[in-house]
Amino acid sequence: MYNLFIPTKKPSQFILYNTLTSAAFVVDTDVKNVLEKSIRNDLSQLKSNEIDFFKKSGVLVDDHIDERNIVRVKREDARFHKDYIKFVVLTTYACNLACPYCFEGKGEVHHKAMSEGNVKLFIKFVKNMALEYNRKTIDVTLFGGEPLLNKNACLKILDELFHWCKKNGIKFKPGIITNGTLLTQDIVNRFVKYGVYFIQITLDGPKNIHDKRRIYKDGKGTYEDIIKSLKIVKKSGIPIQLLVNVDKNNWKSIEKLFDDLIDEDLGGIVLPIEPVYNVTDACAGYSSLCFRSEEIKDVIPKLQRLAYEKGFVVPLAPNSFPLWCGTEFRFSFVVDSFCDIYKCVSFLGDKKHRIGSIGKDGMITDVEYPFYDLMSRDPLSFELCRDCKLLPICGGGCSALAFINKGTYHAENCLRIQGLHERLLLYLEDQFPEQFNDGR
Amino acid sequence: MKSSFYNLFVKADNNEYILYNTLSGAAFIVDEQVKTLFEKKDKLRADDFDKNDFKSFKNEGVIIDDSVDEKKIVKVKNGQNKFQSRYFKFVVIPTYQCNLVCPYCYVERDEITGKKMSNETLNATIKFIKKTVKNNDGKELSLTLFGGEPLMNQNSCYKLLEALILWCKKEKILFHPRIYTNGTLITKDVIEKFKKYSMSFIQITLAGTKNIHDSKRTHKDKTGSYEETIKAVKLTFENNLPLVVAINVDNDNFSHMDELLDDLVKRGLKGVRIMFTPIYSMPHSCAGYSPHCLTINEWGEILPELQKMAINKGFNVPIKPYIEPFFCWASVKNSYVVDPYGDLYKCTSLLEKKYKIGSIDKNGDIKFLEFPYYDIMSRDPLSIKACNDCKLLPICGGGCAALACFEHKTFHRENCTRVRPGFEKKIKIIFEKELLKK
Repeated sequence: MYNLFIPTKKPSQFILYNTLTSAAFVVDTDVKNVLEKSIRNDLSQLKSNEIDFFKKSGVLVDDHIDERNIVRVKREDARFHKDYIKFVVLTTYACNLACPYCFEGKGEVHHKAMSEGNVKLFIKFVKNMALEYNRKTIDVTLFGGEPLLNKNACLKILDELFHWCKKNGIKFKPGIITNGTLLTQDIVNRFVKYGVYFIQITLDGPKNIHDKRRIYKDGKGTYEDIIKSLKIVKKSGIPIQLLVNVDKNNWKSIEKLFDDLIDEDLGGIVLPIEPVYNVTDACAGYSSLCFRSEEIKDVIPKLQRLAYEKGFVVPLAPNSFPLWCGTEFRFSFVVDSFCDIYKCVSFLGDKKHRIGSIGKDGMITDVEYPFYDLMSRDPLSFELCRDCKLLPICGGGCSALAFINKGTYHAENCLRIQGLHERLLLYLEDQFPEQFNDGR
Repeated sequence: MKSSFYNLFVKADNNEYILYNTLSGAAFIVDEQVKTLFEKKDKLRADDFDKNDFKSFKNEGVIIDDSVDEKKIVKVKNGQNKFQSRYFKFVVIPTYQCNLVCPYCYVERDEITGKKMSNETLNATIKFIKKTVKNNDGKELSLTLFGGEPLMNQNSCYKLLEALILWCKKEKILFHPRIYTNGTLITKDVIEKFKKYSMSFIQITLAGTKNIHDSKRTHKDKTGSYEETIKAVKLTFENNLPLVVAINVDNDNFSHMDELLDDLVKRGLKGVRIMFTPIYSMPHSCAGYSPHCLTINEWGEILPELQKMAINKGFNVPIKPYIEPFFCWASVKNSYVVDPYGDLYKCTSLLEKKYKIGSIDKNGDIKFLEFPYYDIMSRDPLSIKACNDCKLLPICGGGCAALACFEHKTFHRENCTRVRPGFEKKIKIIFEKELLKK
């Protein structure tokens, strides 16, 4: 049931993509027609080697097999991954910018920085969890507010965990999500030393557009400062992820941004393009400027293709597991400056989503109900997801968006999977250029 | 505040009730008046309760916040039990051969498939076990020797135990070697081996009094096996090995249990650990035996009586584990059954090709997992109506997947044979002491 047929430029040709097994084929209309009569296919029209091939790759399955059961088991397998543990740590709620669409309320709702004591507690928590669950890789992302407003906390966390992991034979994968205005050569050098594996910085358009959106508290633009930082990071060799937030206000100007980046010698970097979503009450006022789902489907893949064609690296690969994101992963935690624990950055500071806090012993205190509420999310019990061909790579979509829309985690959200067909097509073109060059 | 969905009130003899919460495991003795308070279900008021009572009810999950849906908690815990555990359970069948021909045996008879595990398959099995445990950071490893009669292939048994004991020691993994045997082949030599390998569980089966046992558990020449089995039980018991005597219960023998227990006492076996197990009706070669099997309701009536009788006669009867979280091992990720062909299954009751989940190659790897693996592993009792509505779910987990499949032709249904029968009576027996104290 998980076969997708994506039209190509040639009217009689389709990409057959199986979302459960990731198998991809180029097929013609005849084969498509045979396969689409999903139950009790009349396979006589297929060649026997084709049948074998389709069976092996899960495109054709035995009648008694309910593939949804495979999805269910794969979800649990991904949820309880055996090696990995992921933390996002909020070194401060404060921020030096005032972006109008910020889902955390621009560091003005909460603004507390993580105290030295809480930094120690967080580090203890990371170590305890890694040992308790025998993790082989620790992924820690520094987040805010603007994390570098609490530079000491950032460096303390990196330094201590870097050495501890080395001593204990654990792989340490630190990353940082920053607005980029406070990056200096000195800090970047330290990041290199600690093996920081990505720095995410945001640009929302060419200078004139960006400077209207991502502004300092006094209204001044941040474009020039960020370009300066990008150059420092690029030189350091740490992979940059340059996030571009897109909405009704800026999408037309994004092509100009791509060209400007190339002019600044910043071509070829990783460039995720994301629509702005309304995920919390803090940014509800901005929601009229966010794209609706049809617009996302229309605009985002076009921009992604454009970026791709201009030589940027656009993350395109579909999930290989049926969870939308780390929120539903058992070993993923977001810790704020109060040492409260959440499952998603969108829930930060909102106690009704809190799953616990770090106790004096550096362990999670009482596990609170939202943990169970979130972790029991089961898209196979949602009507739409149950019959959806995208479930194996979507997992029911973003639970935070589901919550803001329907007041419960137990609902599907299809917003962020929009434009999948176009994205998939681009992904496959990138992976198998020989299939596409000759028109196949 | 509201009353937990998982509160059970079991009436005791003296107008008091045992309030037992199947999710938290908490138990209280309460009177009629307190019980009445709970009838308001979702409109409980702190003021109506004694202050301390209310506090402990809240702490123990008997009274909960309105926003909490406990089924979500059950679902997550169920998932954790299945996928997060670092306890590994392997059942290895070193041979399908057996020297007995019990009419109710559900493992295919050796006339049909009397296969012994080859050396090559044994080595592959050892590799498979080590790899699986190692790759998944196992902390504990339980190995059960099963058959046929495992002691018909003693060499393989000992080789397997030897290899894993050494390896577990090296890897600092806790090892629990176990065996299910009919006992007839247990000699002094075998006992010495059991000691050497520090067996942690030895189960020997009886089917009733000498007369009944000898009519059922017979050799191929129709001679009975009671005396040999008792001898084995004695030998194992006297050597202080961790013995469990399983007594199969059916229509034919339940009314003669006191005779059997008395005979065991007479033969010096007082204090032995006893477990009563019903003979389940299954669609295997033993299907013809079904008329002898007890129904679930009959079993629910009989079991607590038998347990009580055995306790009173001085036997050691494990009753407590039945109120601790139970889940079917078939749907636990790190649990496998390996047969003499090196084929993998999820349960010893599902040793048919159509339930095969894969096979071990000579390097100890599984080439790929077949659909029955996903079918069994995706069993989700919260999506089964009967289980979703059931207060026993937290300690039952939906029951036996194999029996559910035999009855309903799908794993995705409930099976109530393990926990439900006689549950309230069992609760009473367990908390009797505390009731008496009051």
